[in-house]
Amino acid sequence: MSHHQSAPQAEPENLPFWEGAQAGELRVQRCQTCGHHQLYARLWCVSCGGRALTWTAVRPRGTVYSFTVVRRAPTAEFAADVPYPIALVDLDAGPRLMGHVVGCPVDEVTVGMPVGVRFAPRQGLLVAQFTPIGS
Amino acid sequence: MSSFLDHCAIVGVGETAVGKVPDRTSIQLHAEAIRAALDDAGLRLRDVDGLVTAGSRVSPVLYHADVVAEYLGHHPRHVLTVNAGGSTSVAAIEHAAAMIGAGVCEVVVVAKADNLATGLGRDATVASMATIGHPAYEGPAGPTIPAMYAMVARRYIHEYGADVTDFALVAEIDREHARRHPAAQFRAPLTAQDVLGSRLVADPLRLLDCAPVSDGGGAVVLASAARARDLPKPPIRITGVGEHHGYEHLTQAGDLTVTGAAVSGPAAFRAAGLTPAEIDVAMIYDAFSFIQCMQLEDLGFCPKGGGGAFVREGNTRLSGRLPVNTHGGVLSFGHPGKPTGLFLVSEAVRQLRGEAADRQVAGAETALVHMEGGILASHGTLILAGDR
Repeated sequence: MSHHQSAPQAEPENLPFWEGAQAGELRVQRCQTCGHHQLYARLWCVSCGGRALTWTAVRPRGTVYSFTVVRRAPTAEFAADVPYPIALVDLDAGPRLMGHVVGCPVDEVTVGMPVGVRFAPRQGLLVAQFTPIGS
Repeated sequence: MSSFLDHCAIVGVGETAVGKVPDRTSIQLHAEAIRAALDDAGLRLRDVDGLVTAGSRVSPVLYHADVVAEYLGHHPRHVLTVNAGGSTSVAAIEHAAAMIGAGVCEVVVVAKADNLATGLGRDATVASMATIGHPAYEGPAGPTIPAMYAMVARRYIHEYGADVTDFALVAEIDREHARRHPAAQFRAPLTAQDVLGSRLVADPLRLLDCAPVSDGGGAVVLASAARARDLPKPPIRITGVGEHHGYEHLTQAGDLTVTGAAVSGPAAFRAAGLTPAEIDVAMIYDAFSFIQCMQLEDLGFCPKGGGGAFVREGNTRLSGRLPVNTHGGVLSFGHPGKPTGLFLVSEAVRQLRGEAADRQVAGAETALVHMEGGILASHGTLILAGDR
């Protein structure tokens, strides 16, 4: 699978994230000056302005900050998926991600639920998904 | 304290038909709204030396305001297209006021219109608006606009114990007001029970918690204070303005339960030298029912977490302490996209002029207008005062 197939409209700046996804890793941009983690990628750290940034693999775990269950799809390509739960997940490593919650009934997603992050193929792309884990 | 705001006033407001307007294009709606607002102001097209528009989702062009000027057959010295989502109208009015305050322009028209309902259709509008998600990090999850707002609502419920029955009541009260406005899109009776019985779109939001997709346009005319004195309608002064732009993509926001209204509101109050208790009527952009509750809190009308109770206690009704959205709000007056914010401004102006007929708030002298864009990302607050 080439980068272009696995990275949804990824600018070169964000390619390391999708390369990580292919390698089964969750990668974030890390500031070498203050240690801040950020996604999406920037030319500098939005916390301290430092310009020395690297990509680093972080523990693929987080907590559901909020969620919804989509009952009406935005486009035809999601029509077959409704109802599907979408969550905002605060990674233990800092940044917030958006993705589907899989591996539990749609009505069992809760705020504060601990989740793992994994990448799954979807229509030729790799996308972040969240699965419930025992706390 | 002197301010650039002292040098101008709102002198005219106008709208086109709102709802389904199948016989009009976006640019025709712009032209009609501008004509209506200039007629209201007692001004002619040739008096206009500034024009600000915000583009069209249905008929996108590169230099929108220039296309509108060309269509009008009038070429103001200052022509500009702007966009800050749902809070564009505050940013555009602030810009117009600054251009007048700086002496660059004397009469500036801010106009917005679109025909989303019949020109684009609901499904295409929903798909188009969903592109607000970050293309790589959010879009692949398939979030709709209601889904993104629903995640804000869910967290609001989680942290503050907010109640969906209060959200539904916001929609009921908006409709009560819309029933008194002959131009509102939705005027049939609507109760909170109807809202709670409508189908889920994105939990916890139901169909009738969500704004419609509409056609329509609005325009506001600002003029220098000197020019305003000679016009037929009493000038409406802008005594305070505030903005806050916190993020664009939802995953970049921090605490979703306290919005930028908690910054833009106090800034506007400071400029006006007023407190929330001194506001007679408020227009609050409620593209989704629950956000009216959150904004009432963040603007300082009630304590944080008290928005639902504030609505439940009847404060926002016409008979209440702070009537809100006397035209029917975004939920019932109509929502053609960016023009929606101008409808809030025109209703506030009519209230301050005493022109609001069956929905007039007796003796209204001060009004607050608040609007937000994106997913509660950009915020603008205006405080207006009448001259009665």
